[in-house]
Amino acid sequence: MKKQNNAGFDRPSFFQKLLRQKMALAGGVCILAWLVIGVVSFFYTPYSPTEVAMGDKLLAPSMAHLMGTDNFGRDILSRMMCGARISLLLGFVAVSISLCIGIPLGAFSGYYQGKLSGLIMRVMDSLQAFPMLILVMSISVALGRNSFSAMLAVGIAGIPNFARLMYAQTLSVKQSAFIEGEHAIGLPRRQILFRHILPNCITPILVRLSLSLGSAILTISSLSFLGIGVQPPTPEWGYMISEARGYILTGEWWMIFFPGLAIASLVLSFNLFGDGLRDALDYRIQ
Amino acid sequence: MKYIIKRILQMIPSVLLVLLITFSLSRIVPGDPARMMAGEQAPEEAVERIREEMGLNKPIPEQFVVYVSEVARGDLGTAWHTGRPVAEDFAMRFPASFELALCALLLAVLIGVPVGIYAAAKKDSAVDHISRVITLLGTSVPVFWLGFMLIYLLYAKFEMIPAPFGRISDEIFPPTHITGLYLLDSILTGDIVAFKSAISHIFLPALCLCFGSLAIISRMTRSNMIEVLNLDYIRTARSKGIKESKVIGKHGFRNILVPVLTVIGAQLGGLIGNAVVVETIFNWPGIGSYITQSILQTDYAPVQAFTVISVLIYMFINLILDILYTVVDPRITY
Repeated sequence: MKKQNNAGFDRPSFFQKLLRQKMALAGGVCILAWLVIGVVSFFYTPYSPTEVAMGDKLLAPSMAHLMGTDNFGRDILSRMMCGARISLLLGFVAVSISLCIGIPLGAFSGYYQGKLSGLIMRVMDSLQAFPMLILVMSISVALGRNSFSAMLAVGIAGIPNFARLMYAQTLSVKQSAFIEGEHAIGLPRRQILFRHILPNCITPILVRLSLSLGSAILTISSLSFLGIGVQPPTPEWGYMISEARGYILTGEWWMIFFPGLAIASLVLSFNLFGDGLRDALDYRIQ
Repeated sequence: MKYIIKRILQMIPSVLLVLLITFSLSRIVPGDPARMMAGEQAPEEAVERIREEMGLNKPIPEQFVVYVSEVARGDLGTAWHTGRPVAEDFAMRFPASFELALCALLLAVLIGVPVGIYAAAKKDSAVDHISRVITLLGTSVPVFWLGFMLIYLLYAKFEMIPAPFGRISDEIFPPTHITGLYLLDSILTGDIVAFKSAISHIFLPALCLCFGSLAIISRMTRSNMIEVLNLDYIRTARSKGIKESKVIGKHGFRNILVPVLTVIGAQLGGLIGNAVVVETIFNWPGIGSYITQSILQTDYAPVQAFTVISVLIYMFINLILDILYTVVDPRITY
């Protein structure tokens, strides 16, 4: 059967749609698994993630140390487990910051269009003119090199994404007849905005949330890799890779391989989950 | 022409806003810049004098005006960890960064666009599936991990590439300085030895740098091509009996140029950001690795300057793209 296409979008066949949902499911399961690992790491890790044991340094993966040990003899598996909770926590908080500031700003600017809204969107535009990683870098360096400022920086840099999305959504929902009706019956404007417009914008926000979480985690680990974000001895994935960079030339691949795999799997899961969510909810955002 | 001038004038408020953002950031940097310049042991009077010289005791709005005029004159401050003006350091390292970014962009476009077109023409073929997987990986795999794994496999394990340090092997003289781009210079001077060495050094970093952009460019090319291939005029072309390769290559391709250019422009931001990471991994003597050093030395002036420069480059390229639109699509006029 020739596949039918709607203007602008290649519509997947039923099978593809199913497959893509399965991928989203796999992503969701993987996210859950990392969450569980992160929680478990509070109570149990095979070895101490921070205790130095120079006698066991640079051991290749074996039964005793499933993922080997690093240059201080610390167990990589244990450090990875702790890394899960750190990445997830920092990522969630960072995206919450962008969400909690971006959504009200966007909703406000879209609903009450005036000079102030124009200014807000102008500032959002110029924030978006920065290359993402550069902006995050310069904010977090300015705030001081620690995990809190890295988190804050990623949060601030993410504000325009949510604000612009919400702005566009509010503008389009505002046009609909039921909002016009509510204006006509004299409902307070604030109530219309919060009780009626906001809930109608939830779907694309959820999709963006999942995708943002993935990119926030990736950005934070890049910052830690560059030495800006999480500081030693906290076992953060990006930092673990940065610490191991001297050992790659001599062939100690496990120190980099496993943390990188962790970042990639978590970010990929969030991306798959977001994409699946979008398809499932059949909502198209850019 | 009139449009270009108008666009440049329109850019001025945005640039001022950007400068305001970077200026505000530089004011919240912890630590006293005057104290840092003077050194830990310097007496209080010396610190005070430097503070005066740097204009740090003027009112904040006046400081901002001074800052804007300095940037406009190309004065980006002094990097205290090298003791040289930032602009000088940048100029010295710019060719290396430019060469790397250019190679990465070329790779991304020259691979991404054809792969995208092929994937669109042969939907659900092997190439299509592979490009789908690459897209997923390209947006999820951290570039520093990819870089190290490739270094491990290709250098440490199989010794297929030279050591990941710098732009050219130590024992080989860099080509005569013409443009500062080693690849171009060595071709211009006919220096085959230098060319071989330079290309073997740049290959891996450029590959890592282009990976993310490559993924997105190929995907967007594919979806745009599929959209265009479903239009009526393509059916007409096909029914006239024009060869499929020509239908896609000529009739289809022309009409995806505008969206593809937009995607390429959007990728440049990510490319500039990732360049910092890639240059750090491969010890590439460009602006990115210089920025990483500055960060580790808590030297904020270069970071601030780099932020401003990268935004300006980004804006400038988008301006050029806007102008290019009129070239590739005559229907667009401003």
